[in-house]
Order: sequence, then C-alpha cells, then structure tokens
Amino acid sequence: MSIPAPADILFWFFAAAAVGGAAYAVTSAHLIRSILAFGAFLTAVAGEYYLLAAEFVALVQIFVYVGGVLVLMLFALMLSTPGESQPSSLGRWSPAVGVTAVGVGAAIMIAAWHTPLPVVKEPAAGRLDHLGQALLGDHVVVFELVGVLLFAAVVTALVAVRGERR
Amino acid sequence: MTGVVFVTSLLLALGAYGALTRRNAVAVVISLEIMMNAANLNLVAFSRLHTPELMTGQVFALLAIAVGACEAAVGLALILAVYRRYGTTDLDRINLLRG
Repeated sequence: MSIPAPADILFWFFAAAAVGGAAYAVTSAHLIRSILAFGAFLTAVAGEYYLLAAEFVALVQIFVYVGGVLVLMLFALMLSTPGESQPSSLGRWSPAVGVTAVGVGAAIMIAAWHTPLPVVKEPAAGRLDHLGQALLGDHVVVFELVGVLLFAAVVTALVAVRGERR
Repeated sequence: MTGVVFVTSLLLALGAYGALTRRNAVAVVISLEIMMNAANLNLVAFSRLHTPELMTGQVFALLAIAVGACEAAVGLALILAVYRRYGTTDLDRINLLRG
C-alpha cells in the first residue's frame, strides 16, 4: 500500500463530508443550518453511491432527496417555526443517549472489523439496462407496490395538512 | 470495503443520537433520514460486494429511497398539522397523552 488510488481518496473525502454534514446537522441549534448540512450530507452520500458503481442510485438520491425532501423540509420549517430560538437542542438524557449511540456504532464497527469480507468484484458492463431489467422484471411487484405506497402517502399528506373542515 | 461499514455505522450512531436528543420535530425527521441513508449506503455497498450482476441491492436502495420520501412527506405534513393545533413543534411541549 504505497500511494492511495484516486477512487480511495474520493471515497474518504465523501465519507468525511457525509460524517461531518451529519454531525453538524444533528448537533446544530439552528434548524436552517441543520437542514443545509443535511443537504451536504445527502450530496456526499450520492458521491459514495457513484463510487460504488451505482450511478443511477446517485442520480435518484440527488433528485429525490436534495431536490425534493430537502425543499420540503425547508418549507415545513418556514411554515411551522415562528422564529423560535432554540437555546439548547439537547435534552436531559443526552449523555446516556450519547453513550448508547457510540456503543451501538462501536459494536457494529468491531463486528465489521472481525468479519472477513470477500474481495470487491468488477461490476458488469452495461449496468443501467441490468438495473432496469431487474427493476421491471424480477422486482416488478414491489415496484408497483411502492407506487401504491407513494399514492397513499400523497393522499395522507394532503388530508393531514388540509386544515379544519368547514 | 470495511471502510464503508465504518462510515455507515458512524452515520447510524449520529442519526440515533440526533433522533433521541433533538426536541424540534423537523430535526428528528432529519436524523431519521440520516439513519435511512446509512442503511441504503450499506445495501448498495454489499450489492457491489456480493452479486453486482443481479443489482438486487441497488433495486432495494431505490425502493427504500421512495419509501424514505413517503416517510418524509407524511412526517412533515404531520408536523404542520401538529403545529396548527399546538402552535409549536417542540416535542417536549406536545404532551397531551402524557399521564
């Protein structure tokens, strides 16, 4: 292991951006900054997808999360929080919760360290048509069910925000 | 490859910490989405590792992204409904069901 490959450098760059964005999003007392850091996190995860040979998933991540969910969160924040300052975003139990979260993360890391993982194979050529065939071939029932779920979610959201019936 | 698992477990721990400590409901939704993204990243990584030609992990990740979008939409709609009724999104002050 002499000079790291460019893909490795990019991988760790995106990993650092994702972890940093997530940490800032979770700890910042200002919700706007929290949401913007969440956007940085989402973009970094999209970069990781791209490096893991999942280009289409990276594209969908950008479209759905950065373009949809993030804007939805900004709208929800604008419509709900009336300039209310957040002196402390941490509850009384935050030390215990922190210990628990660190413990869970450390347990997974130790387990991963001790598990022998197979070597990464080279991805097959023509990945996107494989993905399309898998999505509309073997997994078409789940695909359609997710469509039904999306419809139900849209109706639920509309009913929830419709307001009082006259 | 172990690096991916390291990063995702770190992200999962961060998301769990945020979901349990944040008081604003929007911040809790953000933390949940962070955890969901960590799980998705693991799916894609292990798909690359085991059967890259079957694409099962990527298909699952795409469907999970759709489900995550549903979750965010419904969650934020509920937050707006709660805000209209109580005038706050502070989870410590929404305590009608507390005995």
